[in-house]
Amino acid sequence: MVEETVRHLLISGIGALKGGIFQEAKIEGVGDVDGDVVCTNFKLDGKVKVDGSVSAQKVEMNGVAFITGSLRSDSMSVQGKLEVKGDLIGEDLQLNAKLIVKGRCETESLRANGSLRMGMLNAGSVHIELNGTSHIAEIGGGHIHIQKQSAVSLNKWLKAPEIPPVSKLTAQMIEGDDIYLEYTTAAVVRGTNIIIGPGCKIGLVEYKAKFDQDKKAKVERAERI
Amino acid sequence: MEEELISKKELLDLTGISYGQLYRWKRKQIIPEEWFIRKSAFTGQETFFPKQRMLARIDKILHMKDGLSLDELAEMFSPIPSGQSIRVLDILERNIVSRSSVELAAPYVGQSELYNFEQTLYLYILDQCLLSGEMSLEEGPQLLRTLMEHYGKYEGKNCDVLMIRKMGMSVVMMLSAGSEAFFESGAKIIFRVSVAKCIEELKLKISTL
Repeated sequence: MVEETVRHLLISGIGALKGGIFQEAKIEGVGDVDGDVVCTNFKLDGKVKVDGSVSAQKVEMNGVAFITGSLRSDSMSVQGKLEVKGDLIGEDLQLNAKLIVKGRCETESLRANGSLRMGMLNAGSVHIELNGTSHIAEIGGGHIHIQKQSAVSLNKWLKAPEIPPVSKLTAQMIEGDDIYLEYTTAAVVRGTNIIIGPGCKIGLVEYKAKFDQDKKAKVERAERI
Repeated sequence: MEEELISKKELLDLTGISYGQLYRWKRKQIIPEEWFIRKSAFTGQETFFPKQRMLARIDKILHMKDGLSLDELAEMFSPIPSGQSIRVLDILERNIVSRSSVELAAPYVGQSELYNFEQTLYLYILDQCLLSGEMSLEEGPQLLRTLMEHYGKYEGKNCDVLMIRKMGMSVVMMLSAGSEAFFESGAKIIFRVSVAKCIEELKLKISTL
């Protein structure tokens, strides 16, 4: 069943190609891909629109990507902007980006710095540094850590083209074993060990073992269960 | 088909598992998506589960966890048939399917020393239905033909096999799991078998081979 021919999908400059099964998918410039792409490595420098789903062992994106189907990969590294209309399923997900997922997002590990918009995030370990407004309706997982972006050097800040907008996360529900939150607005937070850091507005906290709250956080109700 | 539901909070309380475990099992698809039933509550949305099935599943996961990795567990609970082939001799010796069912099915499924997983599954479902006493031997081929013709179309999605009877006439049909079906008066549902459940049982039996 396995065909030994090795095909590559290559776009340099501007181009449009059909999807298929490839060893390497490499887009430098602006590309349009029509159909599902299955490959070992998916690499983007520039901009791509995939009309279909992408399944790759390794995904590396620098630029802007729009995928109308789902994206599946064991290892993903994204810089820039990624929009996925379907589901985003991975093992190890590293982002320095704006990420929009219309379906569900499931991964063993998520490390993100940026702004995220999605309905449901299910991850073994979540580490998000907020940069801009994020909205995730439900977060569930083992270890959940959400913080404001760590300090930016003055030099870098002065060079920034615009003053970054207020960084915050809004969520409906956050559930996990160990939870640390900063600058997060949520209706319900449930877990074993919960620490609510500065800038949080939480409706209800339900904890099993440990609960801590920063002076600058607002928690309407906290219950031990 | 009203089933008793249990809320997520009660479930964790009762079983002692953590949110992390529950979400991991969901990611690994050891607990099927359909079991997460959303209902609105005063705190927004709450998740409920079918109580009996969920408790049974968690019990199985916790008891088998020592021997199997999560991925192996996922494989066992997945509604997708495994790629394994099974010797007819083993099927009979292990009493996975009774001899009379194997003989009944042979002309339809094909006479062979080795059956693939799907074929074994058809035999197993046939055997279960016959053993329950609800289906007669003459109706067996109907069931087999329906399964062989249509099961593949579900592409691994959960489905049920259903038999209705009216005035002695029986009809076998397949439905996607969880869907509701209504019939005219006088028609009686003889059985409704979940294929996913049969796969799970069968995989468990085969895994000890």
